[in-house]
Amino acid sequence: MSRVHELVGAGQPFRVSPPIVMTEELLAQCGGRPPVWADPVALADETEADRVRERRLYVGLLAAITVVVLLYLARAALLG
Amino acid sequence: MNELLAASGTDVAGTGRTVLTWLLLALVGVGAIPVVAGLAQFLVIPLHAVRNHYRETGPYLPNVAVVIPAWNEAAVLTTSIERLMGLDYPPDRLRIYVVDDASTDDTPAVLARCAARFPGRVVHLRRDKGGEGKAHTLNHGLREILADDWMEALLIMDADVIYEPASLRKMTRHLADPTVGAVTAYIREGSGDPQGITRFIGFDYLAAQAASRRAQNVAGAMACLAGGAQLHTRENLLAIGGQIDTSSLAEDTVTTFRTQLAGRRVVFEPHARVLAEEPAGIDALWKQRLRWARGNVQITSMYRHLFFRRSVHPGLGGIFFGIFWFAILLLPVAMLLTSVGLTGLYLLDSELAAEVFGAAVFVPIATFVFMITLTISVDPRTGFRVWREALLFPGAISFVVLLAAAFPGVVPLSGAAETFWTLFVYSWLVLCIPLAYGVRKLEGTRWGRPLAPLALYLVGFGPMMCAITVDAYVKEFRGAAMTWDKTEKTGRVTV
Repeated sequence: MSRVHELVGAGQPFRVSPPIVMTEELLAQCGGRPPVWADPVALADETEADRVRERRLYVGLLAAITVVVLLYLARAALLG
Repeated sequence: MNELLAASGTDVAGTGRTVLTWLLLALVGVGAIPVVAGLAQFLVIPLHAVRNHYRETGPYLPNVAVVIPAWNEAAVLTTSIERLMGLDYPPDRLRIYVVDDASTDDTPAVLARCAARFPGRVVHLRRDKGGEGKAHTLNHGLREILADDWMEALLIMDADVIYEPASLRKMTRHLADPTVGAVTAYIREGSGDPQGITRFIGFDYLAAQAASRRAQNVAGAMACLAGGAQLHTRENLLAIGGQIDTSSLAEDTVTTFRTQLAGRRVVFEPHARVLAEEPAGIDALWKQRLRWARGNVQITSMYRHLFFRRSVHPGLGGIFFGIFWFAILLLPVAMLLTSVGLTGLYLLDSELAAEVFGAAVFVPIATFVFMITLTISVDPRTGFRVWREALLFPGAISFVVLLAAAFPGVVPLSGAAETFWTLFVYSWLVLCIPLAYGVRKLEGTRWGRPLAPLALYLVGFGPMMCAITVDAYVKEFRGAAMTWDKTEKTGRVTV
């Protein structure tokens, strides 16, 4: 059963689930390779990758600003 | 404008004309609010790169009960269950409960086969009396699931949706933060080969789910958990009464509001991807979206004490959320006001109308550009697949009108042609709504059916959504019956 923990030094309480026990049978079910969910570090890496991936929103913003500025300049040039 | 100010107060007729002019200007100004709100929303989205919930997540893998309401879903259930069983999640922490709403097709037999294949992990719950809607079906399942202590988190999904393997654990990581009550995922249109309307839905989902919900994450208030992907903690379900609302057509939105009003956060996880089958015809789409739109009208009435009152809830009662909510709900009204304002101004003072239109037109153009580029940037793979529908989302006619407004004088017009074109541009904002209704009717005729997709591209998907909102106002005003029109599912979704 999961528990809510108060860790000294942590900014907030957090929930933890019981650790995964990888049995031979479970490993076989996963095709012989340890799954991501069995490794807390791999899960943290996955989250970090998703967090960093959000930076591509800046590309969208940059593209939007560029197109709007170009349209504005084209319009201004056309209208004299 | 100077002449307008100078003329004020000269005589009664002049005063009346001045008052009318200011009134018409006010109509244009009020009508522009949703466009400005839309621009603000898209400007907020990039902030999600820094203002998100990832730093409060943790490797949390609770016991998850998946509840699937099903009525005659034999065509899609096996694939959905197989996909759920293939999720990259600890197998002993995942159970599936299919609540069969007295199906009359092969659903019971399909479920019996699945239960035999995955013993102890697929549970078939059957209602004897069905047809009361999704909320009643879910509640039947909830009573059974909550009676057992095993479930720590509950995933509510639809029978036709398919979760990408990593999606569930990407959702559960947010529940490591005890302040989070529910998490929703990014649902996208999942047809392997989208055509016509499903391509528009593809872009619509990209804008409304992947893009808009990021803005809601930033604002700290979520409008709606996706019906096909909502993960709740057990504590949250108990705090909101352990049941789903059955009094409205928008049970997902009520659940979302209740969660937040009970003091818990609702988070959107953009990297948990879920594919859904969407209507392939205009009429089916209309019925589905009408249900959603009517639900939103009902929610507005139910929670009227909440909007623009931060003392009730800092997020849902905030200005950003209030403007965002009403900008969508009242968009058809805004379009009507702008159109009336501009047309009236033209009849009163054509030069002033041209001045106002010329000064203001760049705002919708900028909003349109921001909408397309930021929406595509949140999921470039899907976005580039539907870029034509993105450009034609407001309709080919509206696109030409926007281009003509952005670059006036490219096509020189004079005399009657100019008058006709100007009046057409000013009135198109409201004319497109009945025309969108006509597109639906066209699809219903034998001769018009092949022409309906072309008509949809001309009139646009956006105006169709506005027409559906108008239909929702009318149906709610008349107190029309709240029927649950189930979208037909055929199993088109492919990964």
